[in-house]
Amino acid sequence: MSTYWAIGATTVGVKVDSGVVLSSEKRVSYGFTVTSKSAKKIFKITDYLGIACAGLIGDMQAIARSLRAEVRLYELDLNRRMPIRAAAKLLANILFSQRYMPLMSETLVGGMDDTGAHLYVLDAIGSLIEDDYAALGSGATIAIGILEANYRKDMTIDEAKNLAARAVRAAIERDALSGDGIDLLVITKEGVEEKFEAVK
Amino acid sequence: MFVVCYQMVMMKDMGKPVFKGTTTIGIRCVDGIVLTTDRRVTAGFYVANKRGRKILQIDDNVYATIAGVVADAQMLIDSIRAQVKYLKVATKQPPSVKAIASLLSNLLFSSRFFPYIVQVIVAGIDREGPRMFNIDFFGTLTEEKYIATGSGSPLALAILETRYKDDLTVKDAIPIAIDAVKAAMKWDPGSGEGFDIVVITKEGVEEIPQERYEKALYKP
Repeated sequence: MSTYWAIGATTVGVKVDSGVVLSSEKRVSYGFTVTSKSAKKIFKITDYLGIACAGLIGDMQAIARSLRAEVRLYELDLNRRMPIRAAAKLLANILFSQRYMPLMSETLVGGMDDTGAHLYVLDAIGSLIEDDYAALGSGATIAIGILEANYRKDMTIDEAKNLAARAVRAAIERDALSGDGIDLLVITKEGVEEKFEAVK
Repeated sequence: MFVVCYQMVMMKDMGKPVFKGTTTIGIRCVDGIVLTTDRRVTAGFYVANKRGRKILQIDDNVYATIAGVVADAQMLIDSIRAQVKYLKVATKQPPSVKAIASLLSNLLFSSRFFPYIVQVIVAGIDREGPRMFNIDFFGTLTEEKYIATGSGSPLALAILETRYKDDLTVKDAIPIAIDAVKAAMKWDPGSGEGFDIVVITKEGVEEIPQERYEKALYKP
């Protein structure tokens, strides 16, 4: 999903019945110059909702900040958790409001609510599509191959975690713009768990 | 000039990659409407989604198929759906298909210099019977008997052109629409992954995914 701007990144999301796994690598590059090896491209929004991005780091941080603020405000106003669909649509509206000067980030929104686990894919201008698994960024074409071949709807959350990490690892091997470790965000009904895996 | 150039740059960057490939088909029959689309959503040559819903509901008996930029189409249909809901309350009757199509056309034309990059088929049944309209991203509004949009449309239109007749019923039109979308999926890389059908008749609306159609070989 990355032919337009040079979005160097690999980000994947996997949904199973018991939760959602978001995963991304940590490299930031400017052409062939690596400018950071410790970027975070996955963001915990609340303890039942997270996002994962591919694009400009600054833009994804801005997206995470405004979404977090909006979700917290929603919880405070209505005294209940925000449905994942609502959060994703809210983010789509935020992105679409900048249709002609977009925040250059593709986003995965994942989380658990009363209706179970959900994973949504958004592009930079707010197209909103639900899916079972997805990959974003320059490494997406590599990662999606792993996901496509191995995804099953009846996987456990641990299997999903391993699959997501394996997909990102495969992309790191062959995509020059991805690398330097794997971040994982595991969202289940117990809450959000963040993990890091080193590569090589 | 700068504005135009800027816009053209954005259109080149933004309009191209998302959702350019599609096949959507609409056939107006004597007793109703048949809408069919493929399910592939692309970003450049990357297949971003394999079960995209390209037929969206606007009102009880009015549906739209979308081709173009997903975000634009979703926001457009959301906004029209809200306006139709309001009109229904304010006028105490459902707006006609023509009214809904005009609403869409006006909204698109009001954004003449920063267009929503979409092509929409609006179709449904009202008091005048089955009506179908094709609307492009500047707001051009035309009534059609049969139409196809998206990158697969030339292939689909070839089938429609040879097999459409004025006295077609919904029952006859469904296989034609499916053959058309299948032909497009075979020869257009921007289309694929199976099809969705929506059939609108006086009796009501039926949404038929490919799997169910092939299982039951649907007979209305």
